[in-house]
Amino acid sequence: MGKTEISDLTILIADKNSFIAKTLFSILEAFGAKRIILCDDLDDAEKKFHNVEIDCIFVDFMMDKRAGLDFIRKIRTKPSTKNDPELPIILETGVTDIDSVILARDAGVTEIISKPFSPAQVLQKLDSAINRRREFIQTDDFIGPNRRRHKENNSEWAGDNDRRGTNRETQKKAMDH
Amino acid sequence: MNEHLNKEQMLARANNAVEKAGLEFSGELKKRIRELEIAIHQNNRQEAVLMAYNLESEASTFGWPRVTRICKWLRKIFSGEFDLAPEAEEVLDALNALKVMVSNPEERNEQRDAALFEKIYPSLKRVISEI
Repeated sequence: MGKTEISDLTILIADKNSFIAKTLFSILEAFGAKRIILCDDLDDAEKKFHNVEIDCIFVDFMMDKRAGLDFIRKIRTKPSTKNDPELPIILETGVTDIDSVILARDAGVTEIISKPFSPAQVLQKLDSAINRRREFIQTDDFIGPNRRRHKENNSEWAGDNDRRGTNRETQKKAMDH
Repeated sequence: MNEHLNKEQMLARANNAVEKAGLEFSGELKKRIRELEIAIHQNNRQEAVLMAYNLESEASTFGWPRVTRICKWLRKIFSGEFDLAPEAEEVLDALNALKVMVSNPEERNEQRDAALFEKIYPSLKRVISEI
């Protein structure tokens, strides 16, 4: 996968859907993961967060009446002796409307993976969450990975020009003419 | 377990694992649809939404596109996300179509399933335009 080997990771899967959880478990196991914890309720997942060192969490959006997002907010805001709030969190979801995606992003997820997912997508999201971490932001109204993707993580990203004022200068020149 | 699998090996192993899970899922599909039907008949909306959501995710993962769409429709109507309220008969038709589609998962009948879906599609679309 790159810098961090999957075999070194402890991965927690919080998903009530046993088939999807089992499938994800099998995919991660096939990738070489040796420490995978399955939780079918969020209370159990929260206990694990406080008692076990975890490298990455997969959590289902619809789990326990959409409490998956509250769980993510708790991770980001409540300190644990075992895990820091920057822990990579990958949200699994079958609901991909824009409102749900924004909700998830604002709750502080690291990556979102939509169901159905393929092994290749799982590998890509895991690699991105673990090896290409975005700057962690803590403000009054948001705690989580920077919601903007950096240039080094996305070759197509062109926002830097605007931030340096290049685009604004170009626009100003165009307006002057 | 080999700690130094390359990407191709990892994906090949994972694809095999998904295939196995898919076979297991097909074996349980009939029972799962029956459970969904019971939740709907008992008007247990919350359970129906969760079951339909789970089936939708699984059916799409394991290659049952029409089952996926009908379960999505059921999830949405029991979540109250519809354009026009469905008639009870439309819900029953959708459930019956599901039951026929999964009646023999080992020998799927594409032609029959396509015809069934085509038959109920106007109802699905009437209730939720973007289905």
